Amino acid sequence: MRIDLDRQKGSPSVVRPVGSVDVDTASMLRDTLRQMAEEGAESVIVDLGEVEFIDSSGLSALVSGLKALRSKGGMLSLTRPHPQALTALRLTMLDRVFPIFPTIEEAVKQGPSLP
Amino acid sequence: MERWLGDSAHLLGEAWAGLTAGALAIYVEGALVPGGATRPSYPPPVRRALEDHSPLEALRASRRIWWVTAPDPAAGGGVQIVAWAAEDRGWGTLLRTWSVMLSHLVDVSSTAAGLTSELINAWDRLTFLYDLAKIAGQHSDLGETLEAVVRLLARVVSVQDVVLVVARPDGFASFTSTGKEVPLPEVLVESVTGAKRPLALEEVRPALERAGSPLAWSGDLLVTPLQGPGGPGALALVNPPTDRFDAHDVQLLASVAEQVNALIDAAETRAEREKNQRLEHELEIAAHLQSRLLPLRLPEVPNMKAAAFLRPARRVGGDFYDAVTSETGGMLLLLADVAGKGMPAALLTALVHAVFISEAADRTDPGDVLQVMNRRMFPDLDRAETFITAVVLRLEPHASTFAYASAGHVDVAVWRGAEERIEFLPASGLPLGVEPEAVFRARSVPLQAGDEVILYSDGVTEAEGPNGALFGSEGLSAIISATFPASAAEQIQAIVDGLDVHRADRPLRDDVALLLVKVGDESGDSVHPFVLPARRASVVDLLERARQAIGGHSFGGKPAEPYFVDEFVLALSEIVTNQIQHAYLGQGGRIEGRLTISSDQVGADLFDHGVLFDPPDSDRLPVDPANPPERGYGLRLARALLDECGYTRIGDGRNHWRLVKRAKGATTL
Repeated sequence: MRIDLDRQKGSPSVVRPVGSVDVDTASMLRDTLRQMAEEGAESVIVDLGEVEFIDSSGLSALVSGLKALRSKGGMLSLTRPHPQALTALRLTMLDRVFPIFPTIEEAVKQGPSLP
Repeated sequence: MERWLGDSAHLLGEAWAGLTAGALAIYVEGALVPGGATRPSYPPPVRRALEDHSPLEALRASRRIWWVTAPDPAAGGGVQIVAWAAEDRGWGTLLRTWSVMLSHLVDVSSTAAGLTSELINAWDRLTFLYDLAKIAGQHSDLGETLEAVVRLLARVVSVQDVVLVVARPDGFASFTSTGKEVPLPEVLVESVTGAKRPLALEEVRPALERAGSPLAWSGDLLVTPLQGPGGPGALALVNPPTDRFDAHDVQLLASVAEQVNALIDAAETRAEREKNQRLEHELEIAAHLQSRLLPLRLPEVPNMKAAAFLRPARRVGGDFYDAVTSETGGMLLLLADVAGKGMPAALLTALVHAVFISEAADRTDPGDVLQVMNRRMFPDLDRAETFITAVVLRLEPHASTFAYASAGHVDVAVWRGAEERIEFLPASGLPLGVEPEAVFRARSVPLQAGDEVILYSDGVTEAEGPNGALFGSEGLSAIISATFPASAAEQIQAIVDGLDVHRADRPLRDDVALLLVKVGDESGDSVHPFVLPARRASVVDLLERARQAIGGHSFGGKPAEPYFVDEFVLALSEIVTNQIQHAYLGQGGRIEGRLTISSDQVGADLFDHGVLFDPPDSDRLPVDPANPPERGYGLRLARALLDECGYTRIGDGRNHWRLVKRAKGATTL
């Protein structure tokens, strides 16, 4: 797995993991999200469009990132999950925790809002 | 540059290549002598040594050993030799001699025009050293080498006799150019023991005289110590009184002695290597022969399936199995373990095979088989001061019992398929070779469809793990129970895999023999047993195997849906990862089990030997969106993806996970 970052002033940062987010790679995603929270990022979009597989370690990393961002007043949303990722999110009821959007544009337009 | 210099470079290059399989180059005043054997590009340390004129030492670079000689201060000419070889057998000394020799030659030829007598002399010595080096490559036998050395030396230095004495493992061996025997060779050796240089007649005469050696009364004598393979030796030149030795002869003898020492060393190494190669070749033949003693295929009996495995700890071993079909259409199986390992034990397995096939296999009673074998082999085993443990098993088609007899062998394992438990049957007599008239009683044991009988050697149960833990009968039964009802061959492979995982990377210490007989029809389900080390890397392999097995299967006449395969594999991945992280706390261990694929569902049974799994109750509660937990999604996922996800702590300290996913109905929304 690799992680592409897209940060522009005034708009939400986009974190794009590419590949498989599993036991071997999830800590990389967790560390990236925590780092962004530390740096004061308010709104982060994790784009799952290039994630072919995610397991429970990947889900844990997303929740950790969400909590870190929330504690600093930030927010995290997900975009473009593949069916496998969507199934995993729904089965663990995390689809009620993360705002999930079909495109990045929609995520940006609707804007993350605290529930 | 002088032509002879090119010739010398060529000669020395050839001699060096013959000796060391390396190459060398010669430089005079920093210029490469044309005709040299090589023109290599040198690694940096070698280049530096060449430029700095630093004293000779062996350098290791580019996986070779390099030498760069320094110019000899006594002679002009600035001769340097750069050489490399794969190994160092004291070659530095040889190169130093060559460099000094060449320096003198260059010196002489530059101060005197034409060939002086000294130049001829020096040239002779150079070719002599070349010839000496060549001898090393010509003879494989040390005696022949030394004889050739003595003859060559006598020819070049023209003396009355050359005497060479070396200590061999079986006493002193002496060689003379005249072919005459050396009286009291040990006295000559003792007279120079401890000397660092050639000694003159006056220096050794008192010692030789005292011991009564006739060499004390030679005309003239020059003797120098040698280091032979079995201890010290000596090399001596003998002349009539009219022809006294001078300083040149002393110098020559000293350098020849160094060369002879190097030759002895090289010949010994080569002899050792050849002996090892011969032994290796013989072992290869022996291993091949031993594998040919095993039955080509195991007997085929209705309603039964047998499989076997044999792996010697070394090339050949003392474990052995054999099998014949009986007249009644049943099978008679033998598994034997000759005490000891390697070749001595292997030789006796041939005897076991011969006696079993020719004299015992027609007996119907396993006890009689052992009795005949014991009586017949006793004299041989007694003489060899060894013994054999063996077990004989007789199985008849559709019989409700089987018979076995065991001569001091490790327990026979019986898997009771219907009750899913294992039984161990003890030995019924002494090992073979202990008591000539020993009696072996056969026991009759009930047998029904679903049962398995497993014969094995102690190499299985006594295989040691990294912390000294034995595989034990527990390891064996754990794997049998986890992989049942896979085929006989697959279960044997699973036991072998289990042994390999248990041993980790430790070397095999004992031979391993296994024989497994399955009774009853094989299951209609497709069963895929597996044994893996509790490591992430092996999980990836397991998941791929599962993906292949399920993907290639059809459910209700239709090929497996991709989502069905993906979801089962994800659940499997979560559970195995849970075992690695929670049961084994990431410390490694063994996970074994089976995938069972039937026409309407996929199942996995996973067993580990780790700590009890005790998840917090909160893992079963719904996730609170305001405060989602950071961990525990693995089990949530697996439970949601599967129709059945059960955990049981088994009494014998194992954890059992049972995963089932039915083919109908997607979990996907």
